[in-house]
Amino acid sequence: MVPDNKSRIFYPRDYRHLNKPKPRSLLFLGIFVLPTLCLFLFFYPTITISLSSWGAAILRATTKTVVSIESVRFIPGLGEASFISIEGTTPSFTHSLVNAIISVFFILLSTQINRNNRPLMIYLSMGLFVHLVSSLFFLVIPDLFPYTIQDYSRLYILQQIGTWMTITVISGLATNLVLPTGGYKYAAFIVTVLFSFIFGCVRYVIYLYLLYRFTVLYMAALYFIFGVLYDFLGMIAIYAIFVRGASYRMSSNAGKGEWQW
Amino acid sequence: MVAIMKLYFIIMIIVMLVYMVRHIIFTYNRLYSQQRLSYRDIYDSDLPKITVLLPMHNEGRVITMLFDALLRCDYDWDKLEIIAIDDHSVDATGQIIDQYSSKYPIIRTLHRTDPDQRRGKPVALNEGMVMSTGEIMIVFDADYRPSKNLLKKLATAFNDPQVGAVMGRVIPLNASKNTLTNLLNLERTGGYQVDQQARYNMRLLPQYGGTVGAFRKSLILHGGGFDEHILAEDTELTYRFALDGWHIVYDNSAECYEEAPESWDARGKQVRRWSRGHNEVMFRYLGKTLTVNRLSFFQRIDAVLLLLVYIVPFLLGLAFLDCIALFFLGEMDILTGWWIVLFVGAFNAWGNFAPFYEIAAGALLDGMKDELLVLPAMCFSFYFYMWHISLGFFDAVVDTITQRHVEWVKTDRFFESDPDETENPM
Repeated sequence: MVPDNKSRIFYPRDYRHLNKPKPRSLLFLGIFVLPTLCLFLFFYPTITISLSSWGAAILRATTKTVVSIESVRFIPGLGEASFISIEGTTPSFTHSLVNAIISVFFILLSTQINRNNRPLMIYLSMGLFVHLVSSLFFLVIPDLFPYTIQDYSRLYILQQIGTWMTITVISGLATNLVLPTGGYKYAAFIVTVLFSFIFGCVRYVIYLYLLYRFTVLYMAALYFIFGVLYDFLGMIAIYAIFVRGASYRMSSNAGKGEWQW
Repeated sequence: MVAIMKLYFIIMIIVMLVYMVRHIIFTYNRLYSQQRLSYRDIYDSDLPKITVLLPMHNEGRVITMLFDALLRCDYDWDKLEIIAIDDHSVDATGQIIDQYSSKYPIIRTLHRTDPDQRRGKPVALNEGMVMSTGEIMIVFDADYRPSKNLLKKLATAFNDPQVGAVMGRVIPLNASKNTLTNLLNLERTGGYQVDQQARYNMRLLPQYGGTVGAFRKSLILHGGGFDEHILAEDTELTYRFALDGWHIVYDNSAECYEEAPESWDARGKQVRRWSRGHNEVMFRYLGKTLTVNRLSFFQRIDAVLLLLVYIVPFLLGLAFLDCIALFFLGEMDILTGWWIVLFVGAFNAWGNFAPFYEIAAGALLDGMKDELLVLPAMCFSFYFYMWHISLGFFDAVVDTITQRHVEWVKTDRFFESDPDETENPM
């Protein structure tokens, strides 16, 4: 009987690596990443005016108050960024006091509850700490609070433009670096940028509504704790899904030619 | 004051970007370059006499698995000696090592029971080295399971007279246990498969990790043994050897399996202890590393960045507080809202010992698939690490200022030896 040839050869994972990227992989940066970056860089006036118009319409309908659109200089020579302006209220002494007490209570509680969720508890404790500082600020020196909802709106828009550009660069570099195959690379990049764009727009309107409805007391927490972290959370989640897909492919016959030893 | 706060903020952004570039270079190197091989894959010569040191404190739950794995290793028993060090255990550790010693003559025992003796891993290793007969020392913690060819892989490198220490690869055994162990598995992949191998490829400074590593006994004894007042004797060895011109080798094919902590409490304590020990070493060696002539420019840069790696989370925590203060001072227009870059840097460059793209690269190389789905959870463990590493940094500062006595506390164990699984290799 002729011995069966070994049908599968297990190469060690220790030293395997990929073929050096071909020059055409740089096209990805040139054709996709750079134009996307330019889109945000040169068209942020158009993007922000559209977003503000759309958001203002929603806020007018939901709040029944005066909502206008203002603009601010951002990058010299590239135009102004537009943002929504809406009247807000500052919290009362009682409102601030109740929030401070609740924050302290939950900070203490978070040190006691389920230790299996320590990372989440530490993250929430940091959020509660920021909210506690904000509550104490309004308790002690409410007149010195340096921001209105308009200021928040302006900061948000400027930060969001920065976020879109940063996510474009990081996602472009990370996908080009690790995902060697075309389809996954392009898909991961496009989905990430789309997610960041849509999420940033939707969150803008929701946060302005929350600040209008519940006072500027919550501004610090929204800015620091529920802000850009979630853009990155989304980016990494999307990235992980596509790298997983690429890993399945590269473990199959279709992808085995990618590896070098 | 506000100007200083803004300046600090900008400096931290620059620091984060430096680490980000460093890890992008490592990832590119590991993914696309020819890899430096294990010495064992290049030549197969006479192997030296080695001594395996096993420092243990209350390891009765796990020690039999380590003994069995070591006895299955394919190293010539004429050149192998195992010294099991019972360091003031109050459980069955002492009896178990005596049983193994009576059955296997290559296992020798060292019982440290005098209550007046100082306890801890560096002291135990020093005493173990004194009674050893081999020139090459290989150290394992009790919850590790060496692969069959691991000892040969580590020992072969010492045929190169320039090699002072060798580090093997650590892989969690219990990766699928829960989210934490899965995350640790990913971290290890990024840290070893990519980071350590890239540093070795680029002739920078791979780190000796204290377990699954080997070193020349004479070099340590010549320097007076391990410093018994320091918690990170592994990091100290790395810098002591590197600054004296010895090569540190990383062997990616020398796989050893570990029991990763299964609870966040245990992980928090472990990371805090690492941070404490690493930062103590940083205080001692930062100046020497910056000025030593034996390292090349790039080696020196990498050695400094490695030395600072456990202070960065503390500095990031300060930057976070700095941001909050600037916010309430009405100064968040700094960089017109681009403070986000700080966190971009944090997630990319420091993340959780390895940034997400470095972990993804390691996972791809290791053929991991569904394990990657927990990668986003890193965003939350980032805050967890920032907290515990900062606590460790404060410990190190107090240790250094007060010169207080540091007690070694080992990580909790979770595995239980299964008597049915132990094998007689004879």
